[in-house]
Amino acid sequence: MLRRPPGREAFPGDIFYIHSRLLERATHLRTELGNGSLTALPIIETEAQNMSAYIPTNLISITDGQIYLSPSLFELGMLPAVDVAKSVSRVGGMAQRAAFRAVAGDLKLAYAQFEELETFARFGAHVDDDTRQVIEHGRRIRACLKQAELAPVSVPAQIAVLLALTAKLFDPVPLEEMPEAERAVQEAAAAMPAELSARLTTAAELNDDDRKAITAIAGQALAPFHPPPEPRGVSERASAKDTP
Amino acid sequence: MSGASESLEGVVDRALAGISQVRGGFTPQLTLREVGTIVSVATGIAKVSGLPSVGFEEILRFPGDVFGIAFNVDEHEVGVVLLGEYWHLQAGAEVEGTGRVMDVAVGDGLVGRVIDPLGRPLDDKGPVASSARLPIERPAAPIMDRAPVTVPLQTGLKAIDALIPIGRGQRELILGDRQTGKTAIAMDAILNQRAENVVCVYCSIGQRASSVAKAVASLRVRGAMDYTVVVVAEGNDQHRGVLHGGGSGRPHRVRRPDAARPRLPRALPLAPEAPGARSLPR
Repeated sequence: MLRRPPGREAFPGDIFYIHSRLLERATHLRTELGNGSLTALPIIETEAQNMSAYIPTNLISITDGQIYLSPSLFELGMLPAVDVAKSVSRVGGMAQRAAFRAVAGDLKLAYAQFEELETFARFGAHVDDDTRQVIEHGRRIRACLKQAELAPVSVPAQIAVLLALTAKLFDPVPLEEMPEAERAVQEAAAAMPAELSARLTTAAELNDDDRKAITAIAGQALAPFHPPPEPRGVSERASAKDTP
Repeated sequence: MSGASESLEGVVDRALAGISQVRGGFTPQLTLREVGTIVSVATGIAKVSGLPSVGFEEILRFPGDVFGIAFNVDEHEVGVVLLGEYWHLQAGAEVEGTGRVMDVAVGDGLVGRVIDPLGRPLDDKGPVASSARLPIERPAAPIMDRAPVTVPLQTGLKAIDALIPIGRGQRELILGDRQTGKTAIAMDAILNQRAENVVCVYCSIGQRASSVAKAVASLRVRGAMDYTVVVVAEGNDQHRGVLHGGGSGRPHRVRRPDAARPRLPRALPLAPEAPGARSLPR
């Protein structure tokens, strides 16, 4: 209506500029200037999962990473439906608390391995014990990443759950009992010594003693969920239930 | 005789004083105004001629206290996006430049409020108290003033905090098909800032009023409105002219809902959203 020539896909020709001039305002200022920060979480809707459409690719290139939500995960009841493989944070890792970073690194790798193997395992059949273990571990990671809406989890509770995951404490727990098991760990974490949880919420590194202490707390909380029979039987039951 | 000449002098002086007074009051009117006329007006866009000194994105005043933003500045004509009730405007009406660019109220008074993109309240808490006004197109911080992102912004979501961590000062895009929980992530992130001294701005662009009301209610119930500003630009809003960069063919919803805080206490997660299209925060 202003008789401006249209750009690609009938968007205004300066659409990239329009978006980038808004997002360039997000920043972290130097200490001399007050050390303030402005974080931007722009939200856009994709059509038919087309992440590589014009506007999404523009915005992906402007932002420092993206969180991709997949409708197929959503349908599987995996909430929040974050597609870990397609999501990335280009600067967040630097900002992550040291305690978190130590725990999360292993987790990411284990989860990536699992996603790869899971597709194979779906064709059925013959997987060796190692692979089975990776898959079972991965299923529990996935279960732990599930979370209800409007129910944020505190940092100490998150770290306790993640540490328990990396220590493979969840692996003997049957999949269907995972939500309760996780809740137990979170509750136990809430009751952990104040001094320890304070250290988790500051930037301090996690030393071995802390790690052991938290793992012990999580282990105690999980003890009732560990079934009496050998874990082998459990994992078979769980996998039989999961593979159609 | 001398008495008569004195009184004549007094009369002349008074007459001259009167003339110079009138002259003093009269001159400014001659010099100051630049008045243009509307050439055509349709669909929220007015073409205005006769304003050679108007600048890009300058605010123009139309009769009846309607304002517009100069979006297209051509040699002989200015394309103006009209804000507000423009129905009564007709071709030939007078237009004036204001010399200002679009600005909005900022300050701590906005926290806890629900406002429209022009800073007017949409809740029932009376006028918005603001400490200052800032132009919406303020220059962003230069590179040398920026520090690396080192402080985490905890969203309270395990999947994000562990695997895709977000730092304060970062720009993290949230994308996905409709109904996949994009807004839910932003809401969780806002709720988790309760003890963090972070001011949150939730911008909803072109969303249904009912879903915005639901989000606001949900923030309020959980005590998150104490540190949150909600900026709402409805789809049927007249100001979406501003928000849409001037209705250029297809509505692209973009723009900085205001509430740009001069110095932010800390981080400011923004969650604007636009169905079918795009959206941006400021």
